[in-house]
Amino acid sequence: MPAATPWTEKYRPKDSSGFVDNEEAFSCIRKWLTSWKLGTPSKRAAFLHGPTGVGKTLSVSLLAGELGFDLVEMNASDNRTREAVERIAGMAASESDLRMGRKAIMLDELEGMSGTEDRGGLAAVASLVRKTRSPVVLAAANAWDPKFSSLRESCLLVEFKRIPIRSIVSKLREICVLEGIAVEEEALRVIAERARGDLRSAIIDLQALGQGMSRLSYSDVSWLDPRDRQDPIFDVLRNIFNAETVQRARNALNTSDVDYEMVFEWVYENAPYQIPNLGDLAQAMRALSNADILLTRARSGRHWHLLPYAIEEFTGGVAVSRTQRPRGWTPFKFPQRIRDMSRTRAERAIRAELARKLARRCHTSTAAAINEYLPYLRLISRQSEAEAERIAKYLDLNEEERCYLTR
Amino acid sequence: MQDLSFELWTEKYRPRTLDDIIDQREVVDRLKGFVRARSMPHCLFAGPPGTGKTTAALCLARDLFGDAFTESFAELNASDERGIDVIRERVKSFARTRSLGEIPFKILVLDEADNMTSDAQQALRRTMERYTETCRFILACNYSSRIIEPIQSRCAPFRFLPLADEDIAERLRAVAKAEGVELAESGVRAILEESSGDLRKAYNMLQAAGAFGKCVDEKVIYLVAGRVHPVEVQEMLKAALQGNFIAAREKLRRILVEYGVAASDLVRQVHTEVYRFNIPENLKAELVSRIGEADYRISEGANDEVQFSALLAQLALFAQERRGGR
Repeated sequence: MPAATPWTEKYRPKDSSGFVDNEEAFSCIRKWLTSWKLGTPSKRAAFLHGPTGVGKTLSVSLLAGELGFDLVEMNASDNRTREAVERIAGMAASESDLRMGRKAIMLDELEGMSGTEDRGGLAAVASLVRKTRSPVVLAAANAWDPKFSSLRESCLLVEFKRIPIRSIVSKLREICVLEGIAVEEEALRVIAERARGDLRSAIIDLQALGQGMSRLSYSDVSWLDPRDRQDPIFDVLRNIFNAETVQRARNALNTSDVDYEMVFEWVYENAPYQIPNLGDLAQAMRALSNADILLTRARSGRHWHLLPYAIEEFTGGVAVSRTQRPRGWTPFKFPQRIRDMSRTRAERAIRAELARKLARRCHTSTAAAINEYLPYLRLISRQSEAEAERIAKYLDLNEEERCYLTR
Repeated sequence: MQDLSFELWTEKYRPRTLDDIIDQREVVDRLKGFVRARSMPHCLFAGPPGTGKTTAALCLARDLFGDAFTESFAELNASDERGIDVIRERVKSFARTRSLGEIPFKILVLDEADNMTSDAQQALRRTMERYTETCRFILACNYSSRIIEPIQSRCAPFRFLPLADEDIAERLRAVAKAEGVELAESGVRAILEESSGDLRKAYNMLQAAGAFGKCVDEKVIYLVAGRVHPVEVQEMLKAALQGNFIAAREKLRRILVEYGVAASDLVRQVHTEVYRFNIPENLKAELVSRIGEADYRISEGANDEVQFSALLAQLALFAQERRGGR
């Protein structure tokens, strides 16, 4: 497989023996699907509910394969108007009697269906569920959403739970072995804990961090701060970059718990990787720079009313500038600026102190000391150890500051 | 260079009294008048970097105060002090005690005064009025137009001009001789070209070049200039012009983080390079306007890396249009 294959695809279980967690839900679906072979059961639809990344879609596609159903899928990225649902429904009602190979219909990410864009979509689903002659599987994170109340009654409810950390760790370990990555147990724990029961996002994180590395240690992943990803930031990012309207991109951020400054950093880091066309990229970077100055003004003058404009610029402005997607799968990268901040903090502190000493000597500002004097002093220091020693004495430098000069 | 201790030549050869100052004739003559009268107004020193503003203030104070110099003279740097409150406190404690010498006032130099916001300058103006009996201010700045009208009208204005090439050349030769550094004429010309009237920069270049321990000619000077202005700047622009934004941003990060180059300097460098870029002429004006906007935003406190990245992406796009790409 090419390197760009998402590990979530590459390591997807091939058959039902590879489906380990949520066994109860899995056997419940199996029983219900099997019953279709004997005639139409009382519940014509199953409603799978539970958090993302725990195997709802996977379980259905594995079982459909095992029991000989052709799975017809429809998910959030398709346009789900009444007409679209009815077209599928018609297909399900007519063809299933005629052929031996039966169809099963899956409507995934049902919560994405509502409001104005999917006009009448949910009503069409309800009607499909009543009339269908093929198994219909619905999936959503929260079945108890009021908009599903009428649907719920006519469906077999199947609950999926978060994947335990222990299970995630063992899956990740298995992948590392196959990828030839020597990994520290502690590193896997960090990734697994951050995923909060979402196996898919854990695997995506692992690929982003570990692909192409021969070893992965705790320090490689320890900067992943669980606070930053209560709502997995990767989902927010994906939704922003894939949004087709400014509003949707903004909502991707506003409906999550992720700190907006953190999202800004992630979008800024990833824009050039996610936006291959230069014209699009220039427009996106301009939106980011506009957001940056708006955020600056909001902070410095306490003009918090500017915040919505800033957010729309760095979510929507970036999203709508993209007319082309990158070829192949492009993992999200952790923001370099956040990494640098901790790495260079110590160095900057040393430089600042050195600049203060230099500024006092030269009757100038620390900024001028850094720009007008320091480069020359470093050049001289690197020429000779003895000169470096003399400069250190002249400016009364400590050992760290002296090292900075010769580095 | 044979000395056992190190000293920056900008400090070692800084004039000690007004009589030692060779340039800025008119300015120095008027300052000498203050010394004779044993009195002075608040002053505004305006001019480019390295033209002697701080030196003139130091010499004036030394000539006026003599032995009482250290307790009667203080320097504050507006861009290093956080906020007007800090400045006000410092002024208060400095001006509260009377000068010990015969001169009834002290001198406070406020450097880079044009970096203060106009609100801070308003507050400064009240402080100046309040302590005017005991403390005279010398405000130093690059542009007097950035100083608010009420302060300008309370100060005697002094304009510092860029030093003439011949004067800098003469100084360089004298220092080189005193320091035992062999300085070729081509080296002098190269320093003049690189320092454009900034004596401080000229001295620093000569001193760094001297550390290479051979004859300072143009090659050595360009070597120094190249090391001081990281090659990354050129590499960054080159990557952007080739359409490789990701590589350009990597370079940008090195320049800002590892070299610690100030964004304001980088803006200036990029601006001077614009006319060498291989992009359509009509887009150069557009690019300059974007650079100006980025400069202003950075001075407002925006993030330098983000603002620069937007410029680099724009540059990459313009260069692509030149090549006839989409």
